[in-house]
Amino acid sequence: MTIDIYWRLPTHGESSTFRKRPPNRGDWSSLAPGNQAPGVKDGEPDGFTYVDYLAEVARAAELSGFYGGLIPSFPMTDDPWVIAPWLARATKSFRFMIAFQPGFLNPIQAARMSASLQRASGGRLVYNIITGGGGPQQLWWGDAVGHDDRYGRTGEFLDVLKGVWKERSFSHQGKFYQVENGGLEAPLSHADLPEIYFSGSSDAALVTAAKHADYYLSWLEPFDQLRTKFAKVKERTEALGRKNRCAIRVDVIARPTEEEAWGEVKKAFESLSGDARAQFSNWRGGDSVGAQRQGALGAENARRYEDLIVAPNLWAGFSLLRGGPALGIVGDYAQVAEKLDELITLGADGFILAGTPHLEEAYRVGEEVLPLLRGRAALPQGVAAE
Amino acid sequence: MSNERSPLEFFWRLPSSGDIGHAGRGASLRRDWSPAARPAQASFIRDARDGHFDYYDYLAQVARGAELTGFHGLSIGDETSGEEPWIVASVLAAHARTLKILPSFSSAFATAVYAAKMSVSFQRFSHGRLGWHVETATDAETRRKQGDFIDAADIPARTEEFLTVAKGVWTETAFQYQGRFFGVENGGFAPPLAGQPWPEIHLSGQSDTELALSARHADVHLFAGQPIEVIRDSTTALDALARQEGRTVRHGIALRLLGRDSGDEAGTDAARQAARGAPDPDIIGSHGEIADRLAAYVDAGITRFVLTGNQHLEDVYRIGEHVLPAVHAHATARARSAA
Repeated sequence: MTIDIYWRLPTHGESSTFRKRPPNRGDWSSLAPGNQAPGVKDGEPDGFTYVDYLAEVARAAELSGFYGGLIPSFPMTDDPWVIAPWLARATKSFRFMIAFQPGFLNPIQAARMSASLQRASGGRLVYNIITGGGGPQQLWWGDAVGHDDRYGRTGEFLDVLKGVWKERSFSHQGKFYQVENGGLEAPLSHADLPEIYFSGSSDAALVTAAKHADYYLSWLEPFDQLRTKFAKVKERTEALGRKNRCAIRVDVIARPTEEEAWGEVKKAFESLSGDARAQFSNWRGGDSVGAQRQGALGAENARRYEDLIVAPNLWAGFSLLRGGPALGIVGDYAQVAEKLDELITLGADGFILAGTPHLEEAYRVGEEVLPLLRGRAALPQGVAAE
Repeated sequence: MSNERSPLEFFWRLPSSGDIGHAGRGASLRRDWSPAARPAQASFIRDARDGHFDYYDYLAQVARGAELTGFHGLSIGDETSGEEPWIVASVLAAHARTLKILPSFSSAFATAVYAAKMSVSFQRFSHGRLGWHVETATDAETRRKQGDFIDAADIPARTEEFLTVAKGVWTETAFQYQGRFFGVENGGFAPPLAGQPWPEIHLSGQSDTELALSARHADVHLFAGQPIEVIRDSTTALDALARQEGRTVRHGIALRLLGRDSGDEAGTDAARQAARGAPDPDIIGSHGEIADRLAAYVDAGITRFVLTGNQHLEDVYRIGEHVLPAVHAHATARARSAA
């Protein structure tokens, strides 16, 4: 049994610190001395672009022992289907976990893109299938399909993609897609189908995940909720005669001492303005169940950072500092490793970890935390594994 | 320095689905250098390649050849048995950093918003080198294999909507559109995604509808290799339509060439390639003869050439070194005498 630990590429720029500052890496704030990718040299833009920084994060991740990295996709980010091939020849082992919404790509074209990227990268493509948060953001993408239909469409997309991948003359008549005698041609047809990580917390999502996911991916939630969720997913998957595994996406702040780790959190929390809290409500009016579950942790109403410590080494304020999940892990290296071991015991077979800044934190987590992981061997004697 | 004032641009169309190579072997050769595909060799010859190389290494060599010999860009065709154009585009944009990159794709490949989103990142990373060649197969069987079931008659309308919506989210904020094929509500990119150069739009086709579409939307109209008189008539018609729209559209042509030092050598190699099933070149001859034919197209109004061959690595160097300079010189002299 293996566990795959991914890092993350910051596709919407970042600051060199976890504290809330204008992002100086990338061009999401004005070009000024001290910025990079692009930066300023002799008073002029230096000719680098943001993909040059992303290349460094990917290399840092692969050197430090991560299996690859998640490449997120949102209205304000650069695009994963361009980033991954751009970095394919500049990396050796890094797996490109491309996040994408099936509704935006023709499934046959997606199959061709995937097979070619497998060929260009030596088989390093992985999918993170996302189905969107609904609301205004969904309409911004030009997608008016409602929540449950979107998951139905995702399922049909994967049926068609797998059909043209595995068969040479595949036909399909469905609610969202039609194909007649389609199929990848050689040599693209010889490429491996990517592993599928699947995101979504609703019932509609779980139905589609049970049929298609290799890994069911969830944000970190309070452990009891997560245990229940994973059990539900595994039950539904096994009912279809399949097996899948579960993975967790979680930010970490790991430092040599617990005091330093919480010190980072305190400084970051105190650097927030009132506006910052409102800024990350980008799933207001959406239909994402996962976002609602994170919202219930109450980050926006906290007055002190301590109010958001929901359990030892678990802080629920990450969403205030950047969009995304609220709950993350804070502690010294041993504590962070221990929490990850607990999650492995709970049922996690994979992780997508992240920390800001993503370059330096890849080194830190790779060098100091990953070597401490013991997995299910961490259990005391006499305690059952699950 | 004779290329200084040439109005011409030359692109090389890459081998998306393989390359005939030297045409000497019985088995089909793709120049796919991965272990499973490359020609076998006796085991007593030490082969250092192991699993290190693949087809993208060959594409990179052809791309760099185009770059070294003075081409302006790379065209990546949309072939059903070939590598997917967007993936090739990104891999090669990172490698050949001074060339324009022109993937071909159908208006059915993605939503217009997503195509625009991908392209914005491409422009950001490449310093604005992306072109779009939007072309859709007209025969229903091919399109149905790709999941595209609209009537052939609807293709120009869908292409037009695709370009309209993509341009809308590219250049506006709070962009609203509800069409037959694409829609968007409150769309549009925020900085730093906003403000990127719009891709150079290439369209093709011979019909009145397609010429009219180019008049409204294309930066370049790519004609297939046809006789000079046909090209002259078509470009005249296109120019009239474009004038009505208050626009100018560049005239391009796609040509497959087989050039050698002498016409005889060209003929011999052409026969050898034909025996291997390679596609027929549009022009076969000495480099001088080829340059003369391209010069005639220049006189008929062509300023963009998308050239290709059957032996891509060698041909990009041959054409780049021995044909391009003469055609540039002809165009420059022509422009000077017209001034």
